[in-house]
Amino acid sequence: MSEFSVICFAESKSQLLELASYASKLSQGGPAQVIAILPAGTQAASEAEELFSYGATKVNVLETDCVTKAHADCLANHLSILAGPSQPLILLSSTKFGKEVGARLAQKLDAPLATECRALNLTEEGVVVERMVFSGNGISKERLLRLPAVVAIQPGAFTPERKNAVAGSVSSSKLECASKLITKEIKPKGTGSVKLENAERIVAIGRGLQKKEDLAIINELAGSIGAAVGCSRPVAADLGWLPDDRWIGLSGHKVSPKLYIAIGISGQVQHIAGMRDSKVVVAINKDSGAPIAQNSDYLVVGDLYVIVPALTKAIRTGGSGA
Amino acid sequence: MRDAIYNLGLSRLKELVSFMLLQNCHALHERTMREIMVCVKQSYDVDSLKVDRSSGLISTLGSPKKMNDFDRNALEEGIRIREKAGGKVIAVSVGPESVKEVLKEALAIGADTALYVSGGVPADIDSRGVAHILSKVYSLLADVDLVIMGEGSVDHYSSQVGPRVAESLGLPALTYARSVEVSDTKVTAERDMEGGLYVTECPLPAVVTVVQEINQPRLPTLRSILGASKKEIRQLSLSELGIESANVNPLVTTEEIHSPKNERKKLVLDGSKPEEASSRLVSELKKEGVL
Ligand SMILES: Cc1cc2nc3c(=O)[nH]c(=O)nc-3n(C[C@H](O)[C@H](O)[C@H](O)COP(=O)(O)OP(=O)(O)OC[C@H]3O[C@@H](n4cnc5c(N)ncnc54)[C@H](O)[C@@H]3O)c2cc1C
Ligand SMILES: Cc1cc2nc3c(=O)[nH]c(=O)nc-3n(C[C@H](O)[C@H](O)[C@H](O)COP(=O)(O)OP(=O)(O)OC[C@H]3O[C@@H](n4cnc5c(N)ncnc54)[C@H](O)[C@@H]3O)c2cc1C
Repeated sequence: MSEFSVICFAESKSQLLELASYASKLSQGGPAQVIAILPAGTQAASEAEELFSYGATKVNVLETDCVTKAHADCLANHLSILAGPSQPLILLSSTKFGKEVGARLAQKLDAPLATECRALNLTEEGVVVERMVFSGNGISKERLLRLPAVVAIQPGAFTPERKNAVAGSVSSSKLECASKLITKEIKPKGTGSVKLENAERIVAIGRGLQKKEDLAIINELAGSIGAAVGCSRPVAADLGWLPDDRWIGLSGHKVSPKLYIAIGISGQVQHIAGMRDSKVVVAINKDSGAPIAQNSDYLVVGDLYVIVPALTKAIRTGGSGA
Repeated sequence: MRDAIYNLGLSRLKELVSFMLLQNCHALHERTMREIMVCVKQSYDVDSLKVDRSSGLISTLGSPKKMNDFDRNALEEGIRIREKAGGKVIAVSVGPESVKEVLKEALAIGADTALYVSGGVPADIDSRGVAHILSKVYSLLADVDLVIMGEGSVDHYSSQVGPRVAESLGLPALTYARSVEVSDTKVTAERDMEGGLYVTECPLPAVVTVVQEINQPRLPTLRSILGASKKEIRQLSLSELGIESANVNPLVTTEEIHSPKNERKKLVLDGSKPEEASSRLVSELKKEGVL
């Protein structure tokens, strides 16, 4: 593909770094520019510098409350103006807001859009992406037939790589929100401390847990190995025992830790969809026939109320006696 | 010949429009009356796909299909709004002739009428094409206050049809709704976003996409299934909607779908001796370099 530019937008700096870094790898050797749209904040100046060392060639600091209020209509309109007639590739982060902005933007530009992508390549015939389909039962390769094109990449799908910083230009713009939406209130959902996407180890709990208080034994195991605690959808969405940002799967977070311990989780395909890329998977389940058996490296068959404390103890004592 | 077909389409379109206009007049007299367009997709049953053992490729040929799970929630929400505020629930689907099956189910669950767009729809239509068709249906119906969809579909899960339809019609969209409240002129939703629950309102007409937690969808009863057989299912073709092929020919095509690699060791440790199993596990995990 010949000369074209890449425009990246994400709500958070860390996601924007991923996109800028990914974009700069795509256009290696080419004259393409990588324009990063950074939501304004107190750190904007240093964040812009950081973006340059991850591949951005231009940074536009955008002052707007459309992002914090999740008003996609207005932001998509703004991005379409930035895209102009230049037929760029636009990279977004595949969050709920990112997907919505992407859909509106693609509609405005009459462009193809692929969401939830795990990889992206440029070929002679177009942009080729890899994404999850069939609730995680399949990985599809899809081709976007023309530019401009919009691609939303799963957060954490790519580890940003630092380059030699090339000084780029910083501009700023202001967007008055002209959305048809009025956001009255944002009720915080409790959030855990560590971002699941960044966690090296995750201990995840499912409906095998009988009551909320019993999370104590899970937290203790997690503490013993410095793991973040995650869960299956029902534990967060139906039972509300853990905040929503802890649920892993097709409709939740996609994680790829070194170690994933699934406790009392049956391993339905929609859950697997979120943790398939984990390096080593351990399951603790009383049912040896649960689908998680097919998706784990080690399955300990037994009652989690017995196994979890025993495992915590073994870890604390260094597993001696093996 | 082509003209004849075109004229035929045009006359059916006129008939349809006058039918809709009649309904419109009715609506003017009773302002609480509103039409709720619920979009239901017939998805592949993601648990019964065929995988070719040697290549690992998945084929959808002859795979069973069913109503997209999220659209059950969309339909339920539409019916609940009707029960409170009046109006009509119209279930709409785009796809091959077989989408009639999900519409029959939608009618049995409680939709008032159903409409599907079938003739001339490319087999490899993409989300943009589907959104274009649904927007045209919205305009044709002419009296829709609310379009309700799912947050995504279980097979393709692209979550783009809702906001695309909103954009193409110039409508506001409340996406990822976990609760919806409708009044005469506006709709308020609690949007379930990563950063919190956003309480957001917008004027009607609007598009709403729902998450699974919004409600517990009802099941059809024997009575409602029997009652549904009397309800109308309309069919429209692309030409009847005045849709040009350039707007529905895909811009995204699927090259191949393979099943994800599964290279797990699948070792089973007997937990009836918890201490032994635990220390064995710890030493294995240390060998793997993950502890
Ligand atoms: C469109 C769609 C999207 C979805 N998205 C997601 C998603 O993103 N993430 C997600 O997780 N789910 C998702 N789901 C739901 C998913 O299908 C499953 O229902 C869910 O993952 C099951 O959660 P679970 O494993 O905790 O519960 P269950 O399936 O009830 O499993 C509980 C497990 O605990 C075991 N157990 C019980 N007691 C004990 C004990 N004392 N000791 C040891 N083991 C015990 C049982 O043997 C069982 O295997 C989605 C579903 C749909 C339809
Ligand atoms: C094997 C396979 C390969 C595919 N390849 C591609 C591809 O490469 N590119 C592509 O864009 N599409 C592809 N599709 C088609 C995809 O299913 C359609 O684009 C589609 O109908 C839109 O679905 P979505 O998942 O994008 O909808 P989403 O945006 O995830 O769905 C949101 C909501 O939109 C509504 N909706 C969606 N589709 C319909 C419909 N047909 N009728 C009525 N309401 C609907 C429903 O309310 C649904 O809950 C493929 C599908 C399959 C199964």
